[in-house]
Amino acid sequence: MLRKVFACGSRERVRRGLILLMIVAVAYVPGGVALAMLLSGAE
Amino acid sequence: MDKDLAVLLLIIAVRGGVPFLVFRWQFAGGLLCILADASDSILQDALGAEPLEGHYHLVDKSFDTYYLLFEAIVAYRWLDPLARWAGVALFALRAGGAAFYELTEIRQTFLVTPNVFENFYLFVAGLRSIDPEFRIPSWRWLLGIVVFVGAPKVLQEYVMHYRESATWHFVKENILLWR
Repeated sequence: MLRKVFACGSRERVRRGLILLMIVAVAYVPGGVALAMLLSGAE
Repeated sequence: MDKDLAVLLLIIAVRGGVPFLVFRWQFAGGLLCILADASDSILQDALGAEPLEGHYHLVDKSFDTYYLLFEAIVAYRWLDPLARWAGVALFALRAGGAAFYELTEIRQTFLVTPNVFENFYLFVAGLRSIDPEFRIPSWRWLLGIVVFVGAPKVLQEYVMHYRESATWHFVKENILLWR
């Protein structure tokens, strides 16, 4: 499936890569911060 | 002009205006809504004004529901029935939770009504900006997507609303090293 997503020109490939990166980052960066707070015992 | 009033007007302009962008750019507009959401705390800290003092949670949650409504309208227009109805249901769950919180002031409400909608919306809007014909193939895929985007959000809601930790201050002091 990923191979199909990236079957395009280089500029479009970069754009698509950034979109996928943002989808994951938006969900997992705040979740990672929350995990860090939990593990460090921050109030 | 009074500094508090100027910052208040700036916050209202940013948080009130940015959500309209999702009608033009579903994915990028959604990302800008997140930046706008963070902007009120940042603007207050950066400019040394606290126009929302004592009312921050009410104003923040109201603007949150406001911009999520724009995204829900976009989701309602999606032609993929699984994405459309899952989006609308997840928005209804969150909006219902926000309303229940306003009535009861039980912050733990957000733990059982997490804002999975926003991550789900961005997932679908992002894939639609790669392939406008994108469809969620099956209920199994839908469940997988909701778990994938929802799990970190539940953890975030637990820390923010169950433990009532100050996330922005943690990021500011431990990640941005802004003291």
